[in-house]
Amino acid sequence: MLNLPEKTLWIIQRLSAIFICLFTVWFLISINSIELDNYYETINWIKAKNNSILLFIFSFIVLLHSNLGLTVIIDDYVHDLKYKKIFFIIKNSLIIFCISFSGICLYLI
Amino acid sequence: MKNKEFLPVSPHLQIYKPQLTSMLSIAHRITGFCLSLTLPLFLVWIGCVSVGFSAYETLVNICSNNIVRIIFTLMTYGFSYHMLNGIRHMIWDLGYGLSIKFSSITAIIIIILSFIITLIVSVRYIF
Repeated sequence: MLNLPEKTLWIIQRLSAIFICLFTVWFLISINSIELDNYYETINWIKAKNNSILLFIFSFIVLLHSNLGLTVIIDDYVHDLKYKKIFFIIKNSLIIFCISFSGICLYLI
Repeated sequence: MKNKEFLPVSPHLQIYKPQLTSMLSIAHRITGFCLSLTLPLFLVWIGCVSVGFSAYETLVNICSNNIVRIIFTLMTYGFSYHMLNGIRHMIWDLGYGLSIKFSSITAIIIIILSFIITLIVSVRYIF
């Protein structure tokens, strides 16, 4: 999906990991004040301030990090070029679908 | 890299004698892969919020099941382990802590810290 030099992908993988750590801390602190079992509290929290935008960025970075990690795993353990291409197509399609899905859902909220 | 298909492939895992450091490295990949598989659950949560009250209530009911709670707890352990081990990898990437002693000590610290984080998060958010 990302046709960039290996070095750049390696840096993106590390940077995305740092951002995930920061977003995880934000997420846990932020939801600490609400009851996730309660629909209205949850939806109000997502609507409040810029939480929906932050949640989208969070999900985008997590999916990007996941995509890069899965690429390395497929590269390392799938040795047949035909299967490797099939796995890449499936992985990229699922990642694009997940990013789009989270974007649409958060937009609708 | 242009000739990526001609790169040497990773050696088979079973030829290595299991060591704490190598096991943690393999566990990092396994947890990363498993966490990728659980990512749709996060999207299901967002999806249910966007659909409405009844969908969210159904999700809450499903999540109150003990088996689901155990799965969430395992996910939390996998996530905290993957995150802490990732920080360790980044310390290595910066050129620090490359000795066997540092690797072994931090390996044990990571296993214990992951357990503590899982305990705190599970008590507050899952159970």
